[in-house]
This record gives sequence, structure tokens and C-alpha cells, in this order.
Amino acid sequence: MANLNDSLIADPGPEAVFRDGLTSGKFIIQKCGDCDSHIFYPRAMCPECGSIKLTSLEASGQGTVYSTSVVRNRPEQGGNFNIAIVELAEGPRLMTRVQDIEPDQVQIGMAVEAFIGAIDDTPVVLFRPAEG
Amino acid sequence: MAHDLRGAAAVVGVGLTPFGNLPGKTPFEVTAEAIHNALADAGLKKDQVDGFFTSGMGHVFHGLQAVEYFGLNPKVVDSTNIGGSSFVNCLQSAAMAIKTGACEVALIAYGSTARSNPRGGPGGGSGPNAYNPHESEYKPRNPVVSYALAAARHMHEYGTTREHLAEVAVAARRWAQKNPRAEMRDPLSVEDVLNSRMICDPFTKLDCCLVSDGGAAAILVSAERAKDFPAKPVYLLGVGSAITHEQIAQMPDLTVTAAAQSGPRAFEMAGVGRC
Repeated sequence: MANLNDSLIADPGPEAVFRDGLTSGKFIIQKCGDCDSHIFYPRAMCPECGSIKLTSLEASGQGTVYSTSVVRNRPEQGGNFNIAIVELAEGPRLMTRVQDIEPDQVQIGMAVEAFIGAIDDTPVVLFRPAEG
Repeated sequence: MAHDLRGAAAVVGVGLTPFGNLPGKTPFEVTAEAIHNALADAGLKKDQVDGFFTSGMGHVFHGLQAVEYFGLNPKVVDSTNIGGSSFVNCLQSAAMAIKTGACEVALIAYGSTARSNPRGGPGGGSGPNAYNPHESEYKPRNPVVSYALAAARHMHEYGTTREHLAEVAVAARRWAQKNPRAEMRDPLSVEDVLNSRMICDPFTKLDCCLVSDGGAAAILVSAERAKDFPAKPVYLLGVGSAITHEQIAQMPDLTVTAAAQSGPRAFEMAGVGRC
């Protein structure tokens, strides 16, 4: 008989799995075992179909810029930086920064690839223009 | 058949405060002035209020703390915070509460010191960069950059230009010039908007909404009781809500807001055809 105190959600939870992945240099997303949707950000319930049969996997890292902006700052306040929404090849979108390119040269539709970088010592998923 | 809520409730009192910069006040102090003015407009005492509908940024238990501060003892409270549309949500909740008899006199109230005290502090302001676990670490300048991302996508999909977008600010300024309560009433041109300092591409400073301190309150009662009040009642004919996301990257389509759902619902309830 199942123990009523056993959680249906694996321990550690999806958020911790994602954070642990970042710490070890991996970009983890999820896939729904019922509707096959890919999911980001990490959740304990599929936002498409409500299933909790979700598995974690490493993202391909391939994506396309869905929208982009430049947050303008004076140089003494750190200068300008890019803010973008990238649509992953797997489907989900996320906020990020596209780097290794001038922030105002990032274009909607541009092919980009993910890497794990850091902002203020916090590991985050960043993107750069895709090679080739 | 007409919707049950159509015309079921009416606004019988409205209260406003000055708008702009109100330094040295807390949000509740600003809200108090709005509530005082709304009660006076309706000819009611606060003890007659039995439904309270509010929202805010500075208090974790906003509804509880507001009830305590204003000395209310309502039978119904809704302090749901769904951002800028919270008070349309309040209107819907108040009308439903009145229609079902859950309350008879509904007070909707809000006050903000986001301008003079943007980071909160004692009494609370409203922090524009609230923590989003999967966006805040990128330091997005919210709310401006979220709207900028939507505008950039709109320009990409529809060929919308910077000039088109600047017309929004220019039109808002023309309305402000007719409004004695408005803070900025000088003439504004498209060129002025385009030539001001870039904040988040494609938006310049003058594209951006003014952040203001101020408060407002309204009192609703049933349509049956509304006729007994001194002011001509304003009946609620249609209201609609739709909620989709909070973080901008989770918005299903950056060029289609939830108002594309809520708007038709409000028109349908009112029995008004859209043109």
C-alpha cells in the first residue's frame, strides 16, 4: 500500500534540478510524458495538459530570438545590456540576454545558442549568436 | 437573455486624491483620503461598508492590514493582486458580491506612493522589479522592458514604426491637456518623443508611462438601492476578466494581450455589439 506521505513529485523538485544543472554547467528543461510538450521554466505540473509525469533533459541549446530590447544605462552604471526572449528549438520561450554581440545588434529571428554564464555570480542561461 | 450581472450594481460615490508627487505619505494615508472623499460623495459612513475590495504592493496581508487601518469590519474582502487590472477585478468581485447578497455596500479603494517612495520602506511603496524567479536574475528594467519586448515584436510582425508608437504618448498627452488633475500638460510632439533619451529600445523616456502617487475609491450598491443616493448612479453593464501570465517570456503571444478575451466578455455582458 502506498505511503500517503510519499510525494508524487520526485525529490529534489524540478526547480532544484534546474538550479543544480546550472551549477554544473547544464541547461535542463523538461518533457511531459503524456503530451510530449517541452517545458520551461521548471514546473511540477505540465502547463499544457496538467500531467505530473515530467522528465528532465538537457536542452539542445538551439534557439531563435523571439524579441529583443536594450536596457540603456550610463557607462558608470554598467552600460547597456541586451534583454531578449528566446524561443528554444524544443518550443518553450525564456527571458535571457544575448551576448558576444553588441546589444542593439541582436535581431528578431536570429539563430542563437545557449551557454551557462553568470550575472552577479548567479549562474544563468545566456545565449550567443549561433555558429555557421 | 441578459447576463445576471448586467446592471445589477451601480457606482454611487467616487473619491480621488491629488495625483503626482505626494512625498512623506504612506500608501494607506493616500488611500484614506480617497475613501473619505468617496464616502462623502455617497453620503455614507464607513460603518455602512460591508464589502471591501482592494489591492496593493507593500503589505503581505494587504486585505487584513487595510481593513484594520481603515477601521472596517466587512463581511466580504477581495485583495487579489493581479497587477494593473486588479481594480477591474475588484469591480467584478464587488458586483458579484452585491448580486448574491454577500454584501450591500461595496468599497473599492487603492492608493500608491510609487512615485515618491518607489522602494517601499515603512508603509510600503510599490516595487516595480518584484522578484520573478526566472526573469529577475537577468535584471530586466521592469515594467518598461517587458512592454519594450512586446513593442519590438509588434514592429517585427506588423511593420509598426517608432512614430506609430510615439503617437500613443502624444494622444495621452492631448487627453492630459483636457484634465485639470493631470500632472504633465505641456504640448508634446512625435519628434519630442523620438528625441528623448532611450530607456529600453524601442522606448524613449517620453514613450514611458508617468509613475504617480495618488489614490482613488468607489462605492457600489445594488441597482435597487442606487436610486436613493444623491449622485446619479453609474450602472455597471459589462465587466470581463482574463488572466494568462505574469512573466513576459511566458506570454503566449507578445502581440495579443488578455484584453482580447476580457474585452469581448465585457461587451457581451453589456449587450453592446462591437464595431
